Amino acid sequence: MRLARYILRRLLFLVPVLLGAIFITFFLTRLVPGNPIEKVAGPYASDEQVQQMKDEAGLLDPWYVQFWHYLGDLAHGDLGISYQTNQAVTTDLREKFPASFELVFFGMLLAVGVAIPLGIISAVKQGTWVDQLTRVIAVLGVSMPIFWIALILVSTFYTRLGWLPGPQGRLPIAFSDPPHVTGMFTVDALLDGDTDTFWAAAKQLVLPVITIGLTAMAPIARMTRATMIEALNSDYVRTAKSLGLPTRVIVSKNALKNAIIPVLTLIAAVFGYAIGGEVLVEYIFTWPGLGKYSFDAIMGSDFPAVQGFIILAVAMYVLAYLIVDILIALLDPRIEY
Amino acid sequence: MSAPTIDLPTSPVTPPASAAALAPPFRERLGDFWYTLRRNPTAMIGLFMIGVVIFAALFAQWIAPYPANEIDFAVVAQPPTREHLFGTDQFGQDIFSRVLFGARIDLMIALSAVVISLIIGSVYGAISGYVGGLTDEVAMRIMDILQGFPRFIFAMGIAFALGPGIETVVIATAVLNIPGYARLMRSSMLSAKTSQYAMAAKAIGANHRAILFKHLVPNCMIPIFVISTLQFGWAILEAAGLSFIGLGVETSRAEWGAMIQLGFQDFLQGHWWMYTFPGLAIAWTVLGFNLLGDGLQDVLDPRRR
Repeated sequence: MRLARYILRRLLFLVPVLLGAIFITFFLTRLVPGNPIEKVAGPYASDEQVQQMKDEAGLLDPWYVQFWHYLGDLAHGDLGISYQTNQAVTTDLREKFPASFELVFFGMLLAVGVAIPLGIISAVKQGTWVDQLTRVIAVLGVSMPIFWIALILVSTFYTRLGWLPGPQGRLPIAFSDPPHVTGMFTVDALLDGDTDTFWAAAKQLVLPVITIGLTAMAPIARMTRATMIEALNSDYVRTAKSLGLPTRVIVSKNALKNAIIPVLTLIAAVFGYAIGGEVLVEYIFTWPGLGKYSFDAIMGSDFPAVQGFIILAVAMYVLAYLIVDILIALLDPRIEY
Repeated sequence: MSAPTIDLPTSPVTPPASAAALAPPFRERLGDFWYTLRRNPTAMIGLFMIGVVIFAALFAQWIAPYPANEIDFAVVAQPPTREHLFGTDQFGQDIFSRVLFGARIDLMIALSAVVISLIIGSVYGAISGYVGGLTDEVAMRIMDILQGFPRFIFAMGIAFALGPGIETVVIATAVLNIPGYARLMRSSMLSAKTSQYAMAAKAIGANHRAILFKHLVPNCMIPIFVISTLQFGWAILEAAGLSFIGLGVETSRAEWGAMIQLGFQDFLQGHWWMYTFPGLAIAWTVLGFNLLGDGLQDVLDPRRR
């Protein structure tokens, strides 16, 4: 019950952040010099027609009226119609979401799955080759541009070695999409019992997932190492050692539990970077997800689509923080909720 | 704000004449700092790497064998040779020369962005922390909103609104870094404003502005400078990312991200040198700043050693 109240309070706290984000997004897109209506109307529309279209779209109203209407529509789950696809932006986003989710999910899974064990081992065995390797990964991963890593991976494993398929989306042309269940092609193909499609989809995933995983891995490994070292040097670990507890128990039970909390918060932040990095990765891999959609929308001055994407991205980011906060509240008895 | 109560130690030592004298002299601290820093290999490697880039930026016109924009259709898309160390792009421009000239644009973008965000963020955070109360609360919630955006998405939004160009990249990158500075300055300010030198300054009758900007802010600057090295790295990565997707610097200019975009356009032809070398330049530079930042943190926080 108290946890439910805590979650509710955290949710309420998110409202001003989301409202602020919507407000900023609304203004940013209104600042754009090129008028979208003129783009939609095309070069042959008369001035009167353009004026009339602006009036119909409500673009002649004062900004606060426009903002109010926008908020009202948003409350009904209406993000407007995309100029490019002529579909509701919410429909577009829903269609594109699974592709991005599959990518970010496996990318983060790879990052967390590699970074946390690496960070722990490197803290326990400071100065060994594992430790050196972790430090190199941690500093290199945050120093290389994500889009460049993607290009190097593709040119090595596709162009040069030919081990993996090229940057041509979620499935090679010869394959058709598996029946929609979760929207994640690998999962859907398995559910369908279609192993050929599964392997094809999995192969397409490898390079973009590694790209996202590599960049997300670096800060997590670094933070895990740092907090683990601090925990291992703490009084309670010294006490546990003096009591003669085996190292394995000390590391996993005493140190890790304390060290993991800041790492969890960082994972939420890294998730935010992953959503951003995704735009670049999807662009390179022609991955038909949210990132590619937003990129096309920006290039085509598709206001509603850009706005919709940014709001969704902020919402996901904030939600990730919320989930992490709840996890921490459950893990850390010192936190009052 | 609640006025901090004066609580000077009642020791037999005569109180110093000036409030600033209570803090150790800046030059002496700087000397100590350099002494420790020189013994930190990480920081020194980083400093060396940055030095190379600054050297390239300053002397590009003498080192570079070709001008940054010399189009020569006789040598289009050539792999690395002795004449063209890093090869040429699809306009026959020498990539080695462009990488050197690129150091100028990229360092200038990063420097401008960092300076702008440092000034705005520090002043904002300093005032917020010093004034405290409701002002502080509201000011920090605004920063929450700015940080509620995934970084690169926010940069894209700003760049989208402003249209491509160098100024766009600077502004977008600067806005991203403001909350970081504001938060750091505010938290340093919260502890600095209750310090003895702050009270001493108050005791000798200094006004708020003098206390804030003459006594407190200078004492909170060291962590600000340390994160600036890391912010530099971020700024270069973000600027290059924006240019790469066509929201930043135009591809006609010798900027690293824009050069990678040119290389990407020729990607399927297997012209690997077009994007590999500018990318290495980015990685080298950002790595330099990150190593220096790590080293600085080690030096300033002995617990991390």
